[in-house]
Amino acid sequence: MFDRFVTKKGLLGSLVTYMAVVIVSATAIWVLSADAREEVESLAVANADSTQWSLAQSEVEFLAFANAARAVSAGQADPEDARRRFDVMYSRVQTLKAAPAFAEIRERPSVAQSLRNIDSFLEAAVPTIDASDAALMAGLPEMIEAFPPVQKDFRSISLVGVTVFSERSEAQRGAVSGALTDLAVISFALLALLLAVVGVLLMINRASQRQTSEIALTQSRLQAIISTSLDAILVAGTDGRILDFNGAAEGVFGYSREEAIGADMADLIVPDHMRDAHNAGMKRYRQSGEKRVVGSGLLKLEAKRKDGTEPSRVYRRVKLSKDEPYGEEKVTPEVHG
Amino acid sequence: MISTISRMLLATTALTLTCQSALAGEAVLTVTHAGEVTTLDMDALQAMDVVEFETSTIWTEGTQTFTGVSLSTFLDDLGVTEGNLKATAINDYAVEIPVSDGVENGPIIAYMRNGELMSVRDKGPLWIVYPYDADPTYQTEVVYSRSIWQLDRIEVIE
Repeated sequence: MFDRFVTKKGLLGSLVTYMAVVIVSATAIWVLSADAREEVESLAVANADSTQWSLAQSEVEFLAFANAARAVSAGQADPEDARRRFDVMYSRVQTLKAAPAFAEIRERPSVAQSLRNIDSFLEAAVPTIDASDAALMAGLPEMIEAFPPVQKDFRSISLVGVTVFSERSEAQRGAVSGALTDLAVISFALLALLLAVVGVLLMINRASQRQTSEIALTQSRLQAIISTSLDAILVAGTDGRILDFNGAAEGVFGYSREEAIGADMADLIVPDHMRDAHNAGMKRYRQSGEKRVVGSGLLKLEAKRKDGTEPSRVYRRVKLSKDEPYGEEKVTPEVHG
Repeated sequence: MISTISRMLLATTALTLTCQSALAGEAVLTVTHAGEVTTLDMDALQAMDVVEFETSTIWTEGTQTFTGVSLSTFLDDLGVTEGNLKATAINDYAVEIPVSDGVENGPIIAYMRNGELMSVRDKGPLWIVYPYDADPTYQTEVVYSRSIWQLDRIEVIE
């Protein structure tokens, strides 16, 4: 099932795909967390608290003016108090009319109507407020009679404000929790993906361990076959160095396995008069890959023993092993003694 | 230093005696510092280094030009380096402003908006304004609450 990961191409392709997915997810997390940060920051920068207070305060300022006006009318306060309270309230109404923060509230028809009512009241009141003390005292009773509906208008604006601001903070909370949810979902997805990658890597690891042990088993079987063979087997690399030398070969050629391994095949078993031809053949094969002896099947070739004598009836089968691509071409002279 | 302000005040008083401008002699700001109560009129404030900047505010429509005294200059003159200012408005709205807010290119005690003195009906005579547009860190609830208009009293709390 996971064999495709083991092949080089498949593994590379999968890695590229995973890296792409991880990068995309990480980017998404980065973007979403920036989004969430922005939402949280906009909560911190929010201008709801003071504007809402400012809205409610306009009614308070009106009541403060109304009290001052009544006190002045009753002769219990300095007319200047009423003027000052009027100015403060007036300023607050101007804020209601101009502040961008109240734009949404001003759009409500009931608020627009209330603001128009309040405006007419103020316009009518200004000449009286700005007039002399005597004129103010004379005008106050009429103004005071107009207070109750104006107070209702202030109140209704505050109440609409409560609704609008709570809707707005609800929307803001929604935006924050939405951003955080997106972030959580994509983080979870990335975590799941990483866990999946870990799982796949574990399976690849297990598969390669299994392969390694299979190779080791095959090798030990091969080793067993070579070492127990009644035929003499000698394995050499392309450089002529002997890689393996079995027990039968020890008997045929007179060298111990320890002596033979690592030694040059040419020195060990090729008779002196054939050495030049042998070396030339090996060189040719190494350079051009041209085979004459190698792979020609069973050949009768001369060989020599350690003591210089020739073993009788020597047939050499020189074969090329199949693992050519890895550069470990093995020339296997098989000597039938 | 307070002495500077006092000197300005003396000069202003002298001026008031000669010209009968109702505004010139009228105290617009009462400063309480170390048990000492000082009053400033518009001329005294205008005699200090003038700072002007443009910004929008959450209470007004469009960009406004504010002219006034830098809070940092004002505090330097008072000799105040730490603590808080309790700023109070005509309607008794009060807020504490840390002295550390008085930085260069920071808030000003504005006495003019768009080149004109501000009446009480127009949030005057004094309004502590921060350059909200120039520095987003001034766009916070805390700073908005410190942006006190119709300011008429400042008490130094050390």
